[in-house]
Order: sequence, then C-alpha cells, then structure tokens
Amino acid sequence: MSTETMSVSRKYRKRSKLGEIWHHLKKNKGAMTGLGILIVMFAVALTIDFWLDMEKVIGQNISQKLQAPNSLHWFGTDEMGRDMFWRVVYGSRYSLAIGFVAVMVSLAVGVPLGAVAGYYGGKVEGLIMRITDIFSAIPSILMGVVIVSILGSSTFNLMLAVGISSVPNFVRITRAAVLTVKNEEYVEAARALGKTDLYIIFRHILPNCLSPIIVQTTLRVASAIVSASSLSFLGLGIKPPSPEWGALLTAGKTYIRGYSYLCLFPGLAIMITVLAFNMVGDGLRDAMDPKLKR
Amino acid sequence: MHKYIIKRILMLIPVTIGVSLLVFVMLDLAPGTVVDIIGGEMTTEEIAELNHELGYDRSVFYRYFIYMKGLLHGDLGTSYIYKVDVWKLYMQRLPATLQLAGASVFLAIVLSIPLGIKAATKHGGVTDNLSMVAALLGLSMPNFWLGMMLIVLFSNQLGWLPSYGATDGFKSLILPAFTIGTGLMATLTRTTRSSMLDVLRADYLRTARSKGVPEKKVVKKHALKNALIPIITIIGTQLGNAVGGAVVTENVFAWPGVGRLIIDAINQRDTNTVTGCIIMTTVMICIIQVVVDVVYAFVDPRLRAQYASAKTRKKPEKVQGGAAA
Amino acid sequence: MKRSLSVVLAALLAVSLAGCGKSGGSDATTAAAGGAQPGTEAAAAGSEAAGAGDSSEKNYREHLTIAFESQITEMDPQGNGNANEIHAKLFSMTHDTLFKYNVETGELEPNLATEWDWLDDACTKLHVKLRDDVTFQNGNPLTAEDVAFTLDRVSSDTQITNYYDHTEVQGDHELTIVLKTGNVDFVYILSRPFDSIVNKAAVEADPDFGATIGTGAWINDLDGYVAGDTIELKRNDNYWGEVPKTKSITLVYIANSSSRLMALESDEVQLIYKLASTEIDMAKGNSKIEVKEFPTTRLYYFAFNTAAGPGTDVNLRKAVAYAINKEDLIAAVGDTGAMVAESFYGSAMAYLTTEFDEKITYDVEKAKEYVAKCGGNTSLKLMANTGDGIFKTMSEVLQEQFRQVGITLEIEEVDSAGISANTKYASATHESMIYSIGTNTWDSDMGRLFSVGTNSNKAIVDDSRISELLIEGSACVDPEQRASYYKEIQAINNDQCYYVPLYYSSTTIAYTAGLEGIVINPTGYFDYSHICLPE
Repeated sequence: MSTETMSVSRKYRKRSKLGEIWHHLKKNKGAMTGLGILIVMFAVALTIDFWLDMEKVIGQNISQKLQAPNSLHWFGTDEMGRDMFWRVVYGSRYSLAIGFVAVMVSLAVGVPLGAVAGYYGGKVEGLIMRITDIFSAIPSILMGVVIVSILGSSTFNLMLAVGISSVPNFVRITRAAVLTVKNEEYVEAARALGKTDLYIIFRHILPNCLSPIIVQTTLRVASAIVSASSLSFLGLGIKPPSPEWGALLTAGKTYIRGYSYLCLFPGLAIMITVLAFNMVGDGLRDAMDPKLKR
Repeated sequence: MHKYIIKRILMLIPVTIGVSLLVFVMLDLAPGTVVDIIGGEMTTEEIAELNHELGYDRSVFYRYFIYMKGLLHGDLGTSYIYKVDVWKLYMQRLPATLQLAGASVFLAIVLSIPLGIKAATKHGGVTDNLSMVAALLGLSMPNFWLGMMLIVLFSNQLGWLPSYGATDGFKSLILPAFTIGTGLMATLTRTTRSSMLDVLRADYLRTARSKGVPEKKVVKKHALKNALIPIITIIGTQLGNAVGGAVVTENVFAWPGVGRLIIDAINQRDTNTVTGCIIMTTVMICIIQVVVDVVYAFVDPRLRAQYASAKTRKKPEKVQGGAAA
Repeated sequence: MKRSLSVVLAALLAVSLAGCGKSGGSDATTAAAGGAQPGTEAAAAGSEAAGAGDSSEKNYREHLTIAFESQITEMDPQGNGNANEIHAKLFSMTHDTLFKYNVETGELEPNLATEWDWLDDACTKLHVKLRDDVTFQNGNPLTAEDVAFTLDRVSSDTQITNYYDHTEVQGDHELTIVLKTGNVDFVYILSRPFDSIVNKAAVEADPDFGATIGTGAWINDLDGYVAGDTIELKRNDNYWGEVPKTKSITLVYIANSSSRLMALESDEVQLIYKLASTEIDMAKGNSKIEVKEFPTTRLYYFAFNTAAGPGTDVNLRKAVAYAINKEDLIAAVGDTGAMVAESFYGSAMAYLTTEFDEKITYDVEKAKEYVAKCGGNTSLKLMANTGDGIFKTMSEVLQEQFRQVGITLEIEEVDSAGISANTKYASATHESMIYSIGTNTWDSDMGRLFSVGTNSNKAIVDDSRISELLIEGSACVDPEQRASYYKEIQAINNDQCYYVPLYYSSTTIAYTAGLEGIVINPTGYFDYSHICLPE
C-alpha cells in the first residue's frame, strides 16, 4: 500500500468518523443540553463587552450594599453595593477563558511528553514518568504561589499555574493511549517504510489515540475551572475588580453567615458550567468509542 | 512480589530527590523568605545574621544540599516557624488527615459501590438515571463551595453539626468527610457502574446465565469480583490524593490536617516544613500504591502470576481523572 | 480629635472588666435577657475586688477554650516571629512583665518590679527594684540576672534594640538599665508582654523551649502543644499573685470567623476574638452569648513609596489624600465601630492633634485640582495583601474612588511574605500600599513608621526634620516641649502626605454569658489570665 492511498483513505475515514460522532452525540440528551448551555455561555462571554456597561459590573454604590436578592438586583449586591447578577454573568468570561487556556497549556506540554514516553519506552519513559511523578507531588497551590509571584498575578499566569498542574494527567493518559496503539500494524508498516519517529508519532500514533485525549480534555476544562477557582479562593486570583467566580466566592466567604447568597450564585455558576462540560465530555466519549457506550 | 515492592520503594529515591529540589527552588523563586516573616521588627544586622544562620546568604542549592545531608540521616529538618522537628509536626497532623481520608473513602465505598451495582444491573432504569445525574452533579461541584454550603445548612441553619476542627469526634468528621467524599462518590459510582456493565456483558457471564445461575449470584459471585480492579484503582488514587491533605477543604473546616500545615508553611515560606511534609506525602502515596497493587494480586490471580515472574507489569489504567483537589 | 480620644478612653473604662466578682447566677441571667440591647453592660462587668467575699463558695468551670483568628507560632516572648499582637495574649498569661500598664488609669503599675526611677534627666539610666517572692514555673527564683538576660536576648524588636544598651545587676533584686539614647517611654515599652521576663537557667538548658517558662499564672503545657493549632495551659498553683479560678485553658486557632462564632454557640469554645461585622447582630441575638465591641488603636493607612516612582510627586500624594472617602471605606469593610483617622498618629497617644493649616478631607474637586498638577502621571500601583480580605475590599474601594478623580489604580496582589519582602526599607519595590499598625499608647512609638532604615517605615520616609524631632521627642521630659515635637511631626506628614491615615478599626470579642475576668485593652495586649466561668 502506498502512502498516498493510505493517507487518502484515512482522511476519508476521518471525515465519516466525525459525522458518525456527531450522529451519536445528537442522540445523547445530556450532551446536547450541555452543549446548549455552553453555546449560550460562550455567546454571552464573547459579546458581553458590546452590550453591557462596565459600570454595572464594577460601579460601586456603598449605600446599596449587601442587599438580598430582589427584583432590582436578582442575585443581590455585594459589600460594595455592586450588582451580583452582572458580576456573575461577566465572570463567565474569565472562567471559560481560564478553563480553555489552562487545558491548552497542559495539552501542549503533556501530550508530546506522554507520546514520547509511550513510544520510546525504556529509559526515556522512566525519566519522563519520574518527572511527572515529581510534578504531581507538588501541591498546585505551591505551583500557583510561585508562578503568580514570579510572573505577577494576571489572568494568564493563573491559567498557566492551573495548566501546569494538570500536565501530569495528560502525560499519563497519552502514554497509556500510545501504548495501546504503538504495536499496531500500521505503525509497524510506517516504521518499515523508514519514516522518522517524529513523523510516526504525529502522523500515525497520536491521531489514533485522540479519543481518550479529547475526552480527557473536556473533563479537564471542567476541573481547570474548579481548580482555578480554588486558587482564587485561597487568594491567588485575578486582579480586582475582575469578577472571576472563584474571586467572588472568596469575597463572599467573609459574609457567608448572614449573606450566603454571595457565595451561592457564583458557586452555582461554576457548577452549571462544569456540569455542562462534563455532560459534553461524557457524550463525546460515548460517541467516539461505541464500545464504551453504556 | 518482593522484588516488585522493593523496586517500587527504590523508585521513591529519585522522586524524593526531585520533589525536594523542586520545592526548594520554587520557594526560593517565590518572593520573600521566612526571614521576612519572622524578622519584621529586626535591625538590618540581625536580619543578616538570621539569613546567615538559615543559609539564606548562600544559594538555594547550598541550602538544599544541607537539607539532603540531614535527610540521609533520616532528619526531615526543623521548622523555622514552629521550631519543632518537621517529623513531629507531620505526625501531629497526620492522624486528622488519615481520619478524614479514611472517612471519606469509607463513605464512598459504602454508598457508591452498591449504587453503582444497582445502576448497572438495572441499566437504563430510574435508579440508573438518577444516580448518574447525581454523580455528574457531584463531580461538577467545587469542593470548597459544597463545604461552605453544607456549613451554612447543617451548622448555621439547623445547628446539627459542628463547623470547624476535629474536636467533636465523629460529629465533626461528617461534614468534611462528606465534602471530600462527594467527588469520590461520584467517580466511584460511575466507575463501578461502567466496569460492572463491561463485565455483565462478558461472554463468561452469558455462559453462566445460560447455565441457569440465578442473576443475583451472577452479579455477586462473578461480576463484582471481575469488576473490582478499576474500582480498587480509583479508591487507591483517591486515597492517595486524600493523604496529601485536602488543602481547600481543610481550610474551610479548619481541619488540623497535613494540607493546612503545608499551606500555612508555604505562606510562611517555611521551606523545611513544606519539603518535609511533601516528602512524607510522597512516601505515603507510594505505600498506598504498593498496597493497592498487592490487593490487585489478591483479587486477580493473573496479576499475581505477573508479579511473581517480576516482568514489566502493565498497571490497569485509571478509568478517568478524579475530582479536582 | 480630642473627642475621639475621649471616646477611646471612655470606651476603655466602660468595657474594662475587673476580676471575678460576686456577680454570677442571677445577675448573669438578667444581663443575658437584656442582651438584645446592644452595648448593655454585661453581667461579667460586675466588678468587685478580686477574691472578696463569697467567691470561694462558687464553683467555676474547670476548663475553658479560647479561639483566636490567627496562629500562635511563637511561644518565646523574645522570639523572632511574635510581631503579631496575638502572641501578646499568650505571653501575658504565661509570663510577667516588670511593669503593668493600667488601661483604666493610663498609669504604670508595679508588677515584677516594685519600684523604679530615672537616675538622670536625659532618661538613659533606669533603676529598678524587683519583688523578692517570685519564682519561675520551674522553681527557680526571679533575680536581676534573669531581667538582664531577658533584655540582652531581645534581637528582633527595634523598639528595644534602638535604645537598650546594657543592664547593670546590683544584687539579686536590683538593677540599672542603661540606654544608648534617652527615652522617657522606655518603661512603657517594657510593659509590653513581649518584654516579659524569662529564666536564664531554663533558656540556657533548653534553647528551643526554655523561654516558655515564665513567672505567669499559667504554665504552657508542651505535651498538649500542636504546632500552629492548639496550646494547652495549666494553672500555676504557685503563682505569686492571685491564682486563677479556672484549672486549664486551651488556646485554639480557628481562621474563619463564622466557624469561631459557631464553635462559641455550641459551647465548644467559651471566648472568641474578632467577629465579622455581619455576625455581630446575629451573635447579639443569642442570649447565651455576650458580645463586646470596642475601638482599638490599630491604624489603617495608605502609604506611598516616597523614595521612588509616582509616589515621589507630592501633588499625586495630595490628590490621593483628597480622593479618599474614608466613611465609604469603613462602610465597605463593614467595621461599624471604626473611627475616621484625621492625623497619622496613634489614637491613644497623648499628643494627637488634628489642627492643621490645610485640613484634608474627602473633596473630589480638590483632588482633581491636584491631579491636574501631576502632568499626566496619574497611574499608581497598589500592593495589596491577599492574606487578609479587608485589604482586598479596601483596595477595590480605593480603585473606584481614585477612578472618580482620574487616577488609575492597578492592584498587585501579593501574599503576606511577598508584602514584607517587597516593602523592606532598603529594597522596596511597591509604589503604594495599604496596611495597618497597632499603635501603642506612648508617643515615641510613632518613630517606627518614620525612622530611616526601619521596615515598618512603609512609606520609605527619609525626612531629616522628622528624624530630628523623633530623637528630641523621646528624650524630652517636659510635656509641653514633647507635645510641640510630636505635633510638628504630624503637621509635616499632613503637609507631605507620606502616609494617608484612613481609620482606627474596632474589634469584637464574644463569650459565653457569665464569663468573668476579661480585661479589654484597645492596644490588643489582652490579659486573659483571670477569666472564669461560674457554674
């Protein structure tokens, strides 16, 4: 079989596979609900700067402080009299961005490392896996403190901190996936054709272990949002007055005894977002791997 | 088997060296040292003296070298802040962390495995759907937020349970254990269900059924045993996570565990304490992993044979990542 | 401002509760019933000469627990890490000082020292006589050697080290303390719990924990010590003064204020320090709890780095000073008992003044005028401590207030260690910051905030006139002369706006109804030695 026909047939297969995945996904009610929620959230997050007056988000009015949810302020107001509803809505920008960028960071670092470890095995694998062990032993909060303090506290650095702490997950998942396909015939064939290792990894191996990685990605977006908000909760967040959800929770923590709504709504927002990602992730897994379909 | 355990323990050595080096370098990169914390009102000379005493006038590698020299003699160092042996500090906090870890895992096992089995056997039924929705919810809730909401409900509003610390015995354990346990319960229910489903469809069970073995027995005798491997893996991983100290949850509940100790030490730049505790956590996780592997061998004779021949072993992979820290 | 001073003093008087008196049972219930009215005198306020009358017939709860909001990390009064005033509460139980400051009268009283006097006019030689009936908890008698040893070992406290030179021991119970530069206030400084006397022999025998042995009413039981979490205290039955009625006390650390309150409500602890402002009313509604709010001498301030960056421009500093609405700030942090600070000075200090040529109050127009003079350089970075929610809230409020007058404030969040590292006098990198300081009652204490090279000098002030005034002020015995020195310092700061004073905070304690023997001190140096709960 020549390389041309192989790649052509693969392309063809790939296209139909995408269609098939969508076909399966469409039938999954949970995944479609999740997808719907996410689409709305993304639409809001991407366009909010055009239709929402920032004054509503950051404008303070101390005389209106700590009002319980009412018809004017749906989610109540915080200790500076800012409307919690708009702050939570505006916060979606940060949380979604953090989720995505953080996971991109861990994908970019984790997948190649995992692939190399799985493909070469032996000492290389040993080394990479030990380094992974070392990194996973470091509490993410320490990672957060260090990154945020070296590079300053900014949204991107928070993303970086969260991203780096979930690199070990991707290394392990990718390695495991690579192990399952590296001895397949098509890999042997490519090797016999004298292709370089790099070519084989990126053209043959990785495309065939995408599904666990994609599934892990959606699930990790969810947990990245949660861990970013935990870091934020422990005081390593985004610069004020940006209403990141974790930061809102931290601020509300002080008032939890009498004004628990200050914590309730940002927490619910995190929960719903993460839930949506998880539902889509579950759906994707089922759709991509019919064998696993439950 | 012995060979394998020894190999596992030997592997701790490079990991420990790497972890401690990383902690040292990272804390060195963070702004401020412990001298800034304790030397607030000191004169410049005294600060210089203290810096010298603690090695902060030399490079981080020098301090690391000194620490490792101590570690070789089994000395985890002395806390700069509390002036107590880190080993002692760690041991003071470990029981609370183990209690919490144990309680949350116990809670998860007791609730999730039966639920997962039921969901799998009644696949597509009401229990199945409900438990899956609940599990998904459980996975999606930020731990600390759940903790706070539980405090508001059960401590503030209803006044049933204490909200802080470990002073009230069993009662004070409930809320934090449930908070940490939620993620685990969710993961475990899902894992149990999916691995049971895998097994229930397997050919040998079909054979057993066709031979007229009653369904209950099929589930109990054959299916569960074979579905245990991924379940044990998840429990092991989660127990490993939990002995590291559930940092945020311990913070919310003022739980006197290892996680809070590490956080406080990081904030105070108490390098020895941070390093010592993380090394101990690494060791604990390794012990748990070894135990899990031994349990595998008991559950699955095939694996036992594999260990016996001491071949390179393929550990059953995690079914999916656990809940976030 | 005179008024605010008198408010502090009045509050002091109103809330200082003496000894365990006869007010128990019935009184307690009446007061508890009246607990709905804020500020009513608590039952515990029934002050009666300690040990009088029927107190011996009453039963007291044997064990009490006190919950603190921050960690006690240091059990050695002269240790390195005790800058936080929380430690003072421990030391005043386990140790004793030479002198005791009476918060009601504002007078120094004898404690371990029976009498003292300055041997010279310049206040450099202090002669002290000690009690001869005091023993340490390890059985060793207190001698002048121990006092000399204690003062010699102070290293981490510029308030001592800037003045103290050496001690001449004259026999077992007499000594002379010699200072480098004169300081009238030195006796007051020595009344702080950080200068409690430790036993030389004990410290030399056990350098790590020997200093936990004091002469105080409470013995630090190291067996029950969980570092960073719990401290167990046992009653010292051989105490030279009045022996406490409670047998043992546990000090625990509960960071979250809601958790502290709930622990109090469920009787897990009997005394808590600091309630969140939003919880005060809730706690007052509970008849089993008594709540005391009182002003403190803790001063919150805004400091520029006046040595480098935008803070070197006096116009920007003034613009900021006019832009800050302190009432709103107080409302946002929810500190209902806080007092606006008009001068950068301790609220309980004698020479506080607010009479300045240019009175700086919240004035948007004025602020804009000064902004206009800045020549466009109107952006400023503020270093905020992430470790404390108050600073976070304050920085956000300031950000908004500055925006109103055209100053852009960028908030840099750093944790506590980062704050101390980045704002050291010699290597400060901040442009501005908000911070607080627990001011003492004596005037020379302000020196910490203006002295060149001191790390408490967060504005990196290097003003030769102020330095001069500080030296003259501390060595001056004439009250009028002293007043003029210290008032000039305040006027210079008002003029230059190195620091912008924000407010004096208030704080709260809450305790199980009926608890007696709490002495409140606005400087934070509480003494819980004699708390007891009649049953």
